[in-house]
Amino acid sequence: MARVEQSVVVKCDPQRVMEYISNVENHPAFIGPLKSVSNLRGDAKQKGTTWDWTFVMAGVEFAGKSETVAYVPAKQFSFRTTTGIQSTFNYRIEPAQGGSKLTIDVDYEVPKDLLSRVQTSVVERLNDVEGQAAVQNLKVILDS
Amino acid sequence: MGGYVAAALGALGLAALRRRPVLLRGRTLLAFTVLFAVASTAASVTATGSVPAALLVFEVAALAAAWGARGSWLIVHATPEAVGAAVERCTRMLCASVERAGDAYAVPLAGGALRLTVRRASRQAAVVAFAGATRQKKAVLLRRLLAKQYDGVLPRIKLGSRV
Repeated sequence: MARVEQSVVVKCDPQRVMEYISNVENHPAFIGPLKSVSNLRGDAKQKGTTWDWTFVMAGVEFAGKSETVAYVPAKQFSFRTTTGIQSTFNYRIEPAQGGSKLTIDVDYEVPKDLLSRVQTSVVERLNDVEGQAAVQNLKVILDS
Repeated sequence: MGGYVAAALGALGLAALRRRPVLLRGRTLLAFTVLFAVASTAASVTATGSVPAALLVFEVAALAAAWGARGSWLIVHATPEAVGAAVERCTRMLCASVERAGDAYAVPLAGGALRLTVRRASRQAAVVAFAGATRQKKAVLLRRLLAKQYDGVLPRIKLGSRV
């Protein structure tokens, strides 16, 4: 398993940040390689709610499903992918400097098909860059 | 010249063959045209020691057209109404607002507004032009998010469960 962790402080209260994050249909707006989220079945804040996603990594399109693992208002939102790339996304929010500190950590398995094309270290570096870009994108979206 | 026209028409033909809406970027056309102009000029000078006037005229015309299209997208298999709906949906996803007046959309941002014009190119295609605060960070995100709504000309390798 590989891991990406990134944090950012945004000028926005924790409730608003969580409202935005827990709407999974917003995720393609700040996660560069996430092409789409569709077929959301219910409220993503409810444990067990599922949705479909399409992710693009190193030129290959992966599709799969996710489900909500945990939701704590204004504090935490976690979900895991149940098919395709195996991963767990955990968003944690805490009040900070008049706004919120948002931390994203993602544990993921590098797909075997991709490994045949790209070295694991390259993929991990790529995803570190993508993780950093995702939190910076969230800052752009939520700060203004 | 024939190769250039064939490549441009080939891209359009491939886009027309796809089932989903396909995005063709003006910036890609510009890059391709610059490469064509450099390569064809170099090949001509190497072979004959000069550049024929007809080739020069064609290169200048192609470069001028591609330069004019650099800030635009052609979306095949999409109506202006569908593209406009995508613009509004993507803007909401970025916590921004959008004002519509006919085929023009304005997205107010810090430091100016991003202006988009969505026009019908044919029965099955729309042209999107970007102007104003195109370099503003949220404008860049909107452009990227809008691009995700469409496929590229060439199909990608697809893995995993499909719905």
